[in-house]
Amino acid sequence: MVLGRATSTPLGNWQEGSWGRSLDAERNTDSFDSGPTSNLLFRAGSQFVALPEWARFFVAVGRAAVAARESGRRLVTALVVPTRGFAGVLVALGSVEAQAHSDLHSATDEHFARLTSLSRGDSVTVLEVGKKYRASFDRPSRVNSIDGIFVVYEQEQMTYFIPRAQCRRVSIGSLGRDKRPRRTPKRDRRVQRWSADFVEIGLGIDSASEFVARDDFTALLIGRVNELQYELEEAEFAVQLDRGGFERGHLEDLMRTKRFADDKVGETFRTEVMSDRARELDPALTALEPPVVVFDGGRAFTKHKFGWPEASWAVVLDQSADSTGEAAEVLNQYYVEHRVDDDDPLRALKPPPGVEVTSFLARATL
Amino acid sequence: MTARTLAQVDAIYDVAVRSSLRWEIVDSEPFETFDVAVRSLQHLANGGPEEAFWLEVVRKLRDARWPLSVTPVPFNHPSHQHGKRMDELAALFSRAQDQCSGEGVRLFHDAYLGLQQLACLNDNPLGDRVLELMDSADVGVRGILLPVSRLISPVKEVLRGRPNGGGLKILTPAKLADSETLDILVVVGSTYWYRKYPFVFSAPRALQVYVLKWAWINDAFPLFELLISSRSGARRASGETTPRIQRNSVGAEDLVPRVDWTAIESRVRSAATEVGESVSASVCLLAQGWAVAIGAENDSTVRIIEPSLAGDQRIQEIHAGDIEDGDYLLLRSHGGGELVAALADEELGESAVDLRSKQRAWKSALRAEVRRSGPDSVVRRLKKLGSPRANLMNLRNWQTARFLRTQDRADFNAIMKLVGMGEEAHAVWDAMSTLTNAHRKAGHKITKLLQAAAADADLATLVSTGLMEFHLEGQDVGNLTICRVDAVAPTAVEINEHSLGQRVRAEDLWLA
Repeated sequence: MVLGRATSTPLGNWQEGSWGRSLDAERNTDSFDSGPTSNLLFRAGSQFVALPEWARFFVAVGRAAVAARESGRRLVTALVVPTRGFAGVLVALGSVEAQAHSDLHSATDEHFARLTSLSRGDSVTVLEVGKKYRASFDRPSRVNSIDGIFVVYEQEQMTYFIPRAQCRRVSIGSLGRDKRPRRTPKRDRRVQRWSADFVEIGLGIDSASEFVARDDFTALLIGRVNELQYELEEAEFAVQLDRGGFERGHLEDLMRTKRFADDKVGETFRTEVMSDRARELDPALTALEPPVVVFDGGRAFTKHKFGWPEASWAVVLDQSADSTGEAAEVLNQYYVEHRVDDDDPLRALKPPPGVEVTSFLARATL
Repeated sequence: MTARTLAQVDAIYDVAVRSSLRWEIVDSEPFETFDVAVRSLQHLANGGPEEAFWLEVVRKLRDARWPLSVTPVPFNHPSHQHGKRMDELAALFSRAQDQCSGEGVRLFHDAYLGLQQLACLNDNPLGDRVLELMDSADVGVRGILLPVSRLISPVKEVLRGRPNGGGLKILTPAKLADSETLDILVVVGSTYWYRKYPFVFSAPRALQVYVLKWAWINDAFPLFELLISSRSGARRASGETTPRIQRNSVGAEDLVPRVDWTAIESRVRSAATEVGESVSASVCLLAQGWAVAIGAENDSTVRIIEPSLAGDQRIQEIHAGDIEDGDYLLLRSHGGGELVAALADEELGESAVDLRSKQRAWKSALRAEVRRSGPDSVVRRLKKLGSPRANLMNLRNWQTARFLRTQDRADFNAIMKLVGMGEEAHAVWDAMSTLTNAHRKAGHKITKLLQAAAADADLATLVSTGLMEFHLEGQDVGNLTICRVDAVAPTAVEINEHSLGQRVRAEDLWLA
């Protein structure tokens, strides 16, 4: 296996491009930096080559969708593309990457404060040895001079103390298994199917095990499940190791999609995939309020656009799909009726050839 | 096809960057003469005396004109069906001579002679230009894009007999969307044919795209921007957006047939072979000139095939209201109606006759009562008789053939009392339960059989032609046809329930 070059975008060209950088300068934040996903290589024949320009543009859009969150407003980004292939998953990847980095910098104190503001009985999810269990918040407390919270496992009706230092094990929302095993499970590394190197280099994070240790639902992808599954689970990617050679993996390793997890209930997740043919929304999913919803196709958008009133939208419209025209009309109408100012939040991101993009901030609640 | 690899997607972006669009002018004096005569007659007909007659003449002439304008085969090729068309036009011309006078008759005569001349000409200006363009390229993957799949067969046959014609990919927009990138693509037909497929021009799948244009027809590439206030990545190469006008041009949009929904709905209605309840339906125009009505009630579902998916996921049952252009709809090849009902009857054997008779009896009695007393009165009386779910919507559903019985037995007993069948309520309920179970089993069976037949089938024919037949092994319900939906009528219509699922020919009704 050799490191090669993408057909349309030789390795390194993008560094002189304008996307990410200008926004970064304007907003004075690191979140629009070129990003660690530029370390990703994809398989092209017998080679692994750097992600092409268009792919890195979609990742940058995903980052922007997370960074642009404002209370009461959503960032709407519409992308008309030559083919839907990989556009949606790359946008979602950018969101996951941005969220993972904002995680690292967000204070444990802040999270602990959020937890202690809950009311008794509010649903929480507790992570134990890589598996999630449903519980409810009981009360903040101080035990042996250590601050923490008590949670109640629903099936056992017993309270457990979780010290402040471990509060990242607790997330808000009702997910995971109902019942804990009688014996404390041991982590079985033989069934771990992802590579820590791939996750750490691919996302630019220090600790893959910390990354997988808790839920942080960042992006929901709505589209054709089978196509998304291929792109997330089968398409081969790699990162180059400092010590030489490559570590292979899949986007799913970085994005941790609930639907494709081996243990859908017990494993932590960062993204979820929903079929654009689904008649109704999963209430549990809706309640989680992902910050970003990626509509992979016109049908996904026209059918499910109002399911998530607070989320930012990234809408991928394939120029060769029948549903694109109608979805574009709906988006244009939405632009006219709900845009809150004339600024294009992504104006510094230069779209790649063949891609039409519009972005605007809109009132979030309809 | 399965999902694209990232390398394949990259190739599409690469072509989008480097592609070049170019107009190629094609000329034919006899075809121009005919076209001008048709347009003149059309201009005269609109709002003039004997408008209905002249519009009928124009419709026939336009019907003859559009295949000549988009098919790269000789003008006298049998696929143009000149003999049949000339006979129809001759009959109309006799009527025109008897009943009309003046300019209209003269223009009709010009158009008739023009078509007659074309019917004898072996000229193939579109085909000749396609091959010239292909010959000019040394190597590479070359294709020709036709607007509708019904043109593929004659074009393939003609090109096969020409030097360098055999290796060409003959594509429709749907096939092109799924295709790998090409080196050269020749687009045949006005850009108006491709308004639903802007990617042909805005995200080209070939490095060099030639768009054939008749010399006297005015045409332009559609606007590429779909979104308000959008920005686009610049392409590195492009072509002229509008061709150099050579003569006084006329509009290209006139060459493209329009869907005459009123006429199609009327034809779909006529497909019913027996009297039935009026139901809400969506009329769909299918590939290769077929049309069909599908149920549009709230809970109506249809089965579709997703060629891009693999295995069991290919067959899906969706809400009928979600059907849209480009979906592949599953229908019975002959006979129409509910496939599930046909298969259920086959499973039930001889007892099906008696069960269906009971079904018809209570439905007919209920419908008769609704006609006699009105729906509001029937709902009130049903409530008094103990029906917990009687309302106008449910009453409407209970009358249709799709609802074998009510969900709640108390509703059913109330209906039976109302229509004077109270003593038979128990027996009819049991009969309808038997039918319900048979329908349920049939539904599961169809899914399994379809999975066996279609899950691993090569659907290339379906994607390229828009239509494909399947046989369900061991079943006597006829073959199944998968048809691509080319258009869905903008509004639902009320039709006889026995018209549902009946495919009818509608290719002659494209022209409004």
